[in-house]
Amino acid sequence: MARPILLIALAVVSWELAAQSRSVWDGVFSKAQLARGHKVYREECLRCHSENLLGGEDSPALVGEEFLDKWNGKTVGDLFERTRKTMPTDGPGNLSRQQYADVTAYLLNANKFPEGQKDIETDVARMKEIRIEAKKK
Amino acid sequence: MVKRTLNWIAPVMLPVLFLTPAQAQQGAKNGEWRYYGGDAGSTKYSPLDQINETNVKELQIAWRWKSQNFGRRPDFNWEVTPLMVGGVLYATAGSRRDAVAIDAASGETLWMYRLDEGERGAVVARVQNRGLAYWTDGKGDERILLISPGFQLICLNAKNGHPISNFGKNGLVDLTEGLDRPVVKPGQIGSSSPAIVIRDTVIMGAALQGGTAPVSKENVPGYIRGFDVRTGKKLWTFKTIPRPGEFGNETWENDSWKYSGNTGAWAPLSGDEELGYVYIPVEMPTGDYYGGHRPGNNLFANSIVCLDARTGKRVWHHQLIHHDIWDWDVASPPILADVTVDGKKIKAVAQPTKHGFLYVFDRLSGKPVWPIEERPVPQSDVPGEKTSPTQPFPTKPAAFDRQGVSLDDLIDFTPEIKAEAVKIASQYKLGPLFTPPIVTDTGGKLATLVLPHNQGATNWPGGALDPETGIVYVSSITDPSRISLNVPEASRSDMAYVGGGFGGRGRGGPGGPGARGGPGGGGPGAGPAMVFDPEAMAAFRANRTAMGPQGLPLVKPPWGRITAINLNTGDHVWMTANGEAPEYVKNHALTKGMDLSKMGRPERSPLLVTKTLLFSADGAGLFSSSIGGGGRKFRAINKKTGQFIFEMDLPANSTGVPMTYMLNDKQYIVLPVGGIGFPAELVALAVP
Repeated sequence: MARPILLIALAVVSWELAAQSRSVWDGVFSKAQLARGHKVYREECLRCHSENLLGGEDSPALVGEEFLDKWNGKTVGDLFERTRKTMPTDGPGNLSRQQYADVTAYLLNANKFPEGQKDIETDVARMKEIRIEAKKK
Repeated sequence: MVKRTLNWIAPVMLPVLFLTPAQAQQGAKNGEWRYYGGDAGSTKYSPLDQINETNVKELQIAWRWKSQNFGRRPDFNWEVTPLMVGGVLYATAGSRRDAVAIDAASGETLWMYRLDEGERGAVVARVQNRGLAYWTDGKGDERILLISPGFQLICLNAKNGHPISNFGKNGLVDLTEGLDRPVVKPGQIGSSSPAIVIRDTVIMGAALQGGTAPVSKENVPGYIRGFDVRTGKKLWTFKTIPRPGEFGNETWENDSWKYSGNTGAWAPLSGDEELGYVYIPVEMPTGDYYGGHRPGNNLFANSIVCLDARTGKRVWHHQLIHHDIWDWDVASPPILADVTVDGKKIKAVAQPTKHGFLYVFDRLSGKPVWPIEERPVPQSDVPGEKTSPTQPFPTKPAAFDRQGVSLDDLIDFTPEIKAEAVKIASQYKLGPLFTPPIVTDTGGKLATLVLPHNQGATNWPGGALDPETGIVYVSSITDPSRISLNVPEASRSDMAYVGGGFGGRGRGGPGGPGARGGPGGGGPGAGPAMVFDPEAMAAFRANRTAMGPQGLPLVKPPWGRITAINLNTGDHVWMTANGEAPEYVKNHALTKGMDLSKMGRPERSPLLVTKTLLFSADGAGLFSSSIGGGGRKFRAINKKTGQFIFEMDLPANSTGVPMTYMLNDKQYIVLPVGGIGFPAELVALAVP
């Protein structure tokens, strides 16, 4: 009995390791999600953060060195949660989880992380497996 | 409704009307509130006196009206001031900006108008708005004017909310036409304030997206336009960026008039029906902190402009800032006042500004009531920038808030705190009013500390006037902003420099021109019927830290104030902090044992004046508020002394300017409230 359990355990560990090894450089969002995220951004974020994501009179830039410095070493789940809990500033949490995930994809793309085949999932635990790395390792 | 109105006008209001001096500016008449600012002159004054110093402590909530289900998601920051005509309140409502009529006695919804603009209304320049305009021919034709999120002017029958079919196209006028641009994209231009109707002309400005880091030096101009209130026909356009051959075109050097935009009037407008004039507070041009693409003084940006309401012809103007690079729009409605200065009666207009001055003019001629001097100011060293060598300084009244930053302005609760404040401030360029922004890291400095804040000492809440005394009350905040410039990626902007991008590097945490606070002051959490999310509030606050020593403000209190200024003399009468210190200061270990009751909150208190009292509130603490600003308090203040007479908690933060009216022998005060997790409501207060 010990061997199958060990194998299962190894499989789980390796799956988790594989999951934890994901970063934003691995194509974690799809083209379709990006398009949806762009729509969310235009309707919910643009008016404060500007069309070019460089920020506005009341809002920081969402692209560039400062943004990446802030999020480097954190996870996509952290970015999702921060956005969901604080944005839009006058009504945080009022978009759907899917919309927050989609706009997270849009922010990642705007910071030049590549698109892939699958969507960012709306499950925070899975999102926390994706590291934000400012530079590709 | 009409019957009810007649019932109360006869016994209650006639004595008031007879007692009020015959002058143009006397506030809201007949116990109603027909304009955003009470009257066309934006006095925010009503001669009602039922709620007085004695009974104000009995104020209670009479009814509440909830906007939660208006729009595709709730509105939380409702900046509206409803109108009241004939016992009916008229207001915008919800995130789609529907129009509603509400029974002013009970809060019952009487009608609503909803327009689904599709994509046109989905991407908007400004979500928040402040309300509606009303017009009547006095013969039974009553109309409501709404400006939609997608920038259409809509004329409704005030009796039932139906569009007036012969106004424009089925009640609608497309406002994106006639702006001298071949294409106007959805969301480029819109409106956040109501129109005003003077001499049967609907006059309106425009609001564009923020200009901290524009996509381009090119933008849509925010022209002022007049429409016939009966037909919707455009009568005139006043080009705030003059075309060749028009007055002021030469102030846009290098042909920058061709492409520069903004320069709209996003604040509410004021007017004088008797004179037939409208007074326009004009904002700055494209590029909040870099003007290298628009050399020159940039008329009519940052000006107060007087136009003939029926023709749009300029009567006079005065530019209050030349070539603005501080984002100091003229941001609140001009206040019309009939005053007596040195024995001479003057029909005046007073304009509070973001940079802390109250400019006062003869509103017929535009001549300053007290001299305005052009004084030399510091010059920019940013490549390509050409600042104005001088700026206009009024000799009177004195500034109503602090201007410029020196070491003497820094917080000094203890010598240790002061020393730390000096160390923090040393990272920034300091200087007097009009010290220009720098490029990040110039001379080893992160940014320029700009005081008043780029969002202004005042902003749209502006001031209020007691026409019986000639005293203007102005609310303002004291909080410096950190402004610096950076070269943007070419793919994101064609500007040589844009603002922002430095804040996280300086001591004091996240920043940039947008280092702003979350809702302050107790928040809406303790009120009834909550959907309040304390986790969201905590997360929002955790992300924002004041820039001073150990998370305290960098400059000395008061951080929010109300100033009373006598327009007959130009002198300040009193100044008071607008409330106690923000919660985060009260809870700070370094302030234990200190008297924090008169330090003020960094949010502009909305003001209402009646015959008996000055009313104020903590304000929203949402958009354009500094850290710790806003709160739930509503208060009555002694007009002569500035002393607080009464305070009560509202269900949530006050998000708009209060209004008052009389109905069925009862005086009501109505204002909007809301906050994070608290969908916007109207709250009506009255003495039982």
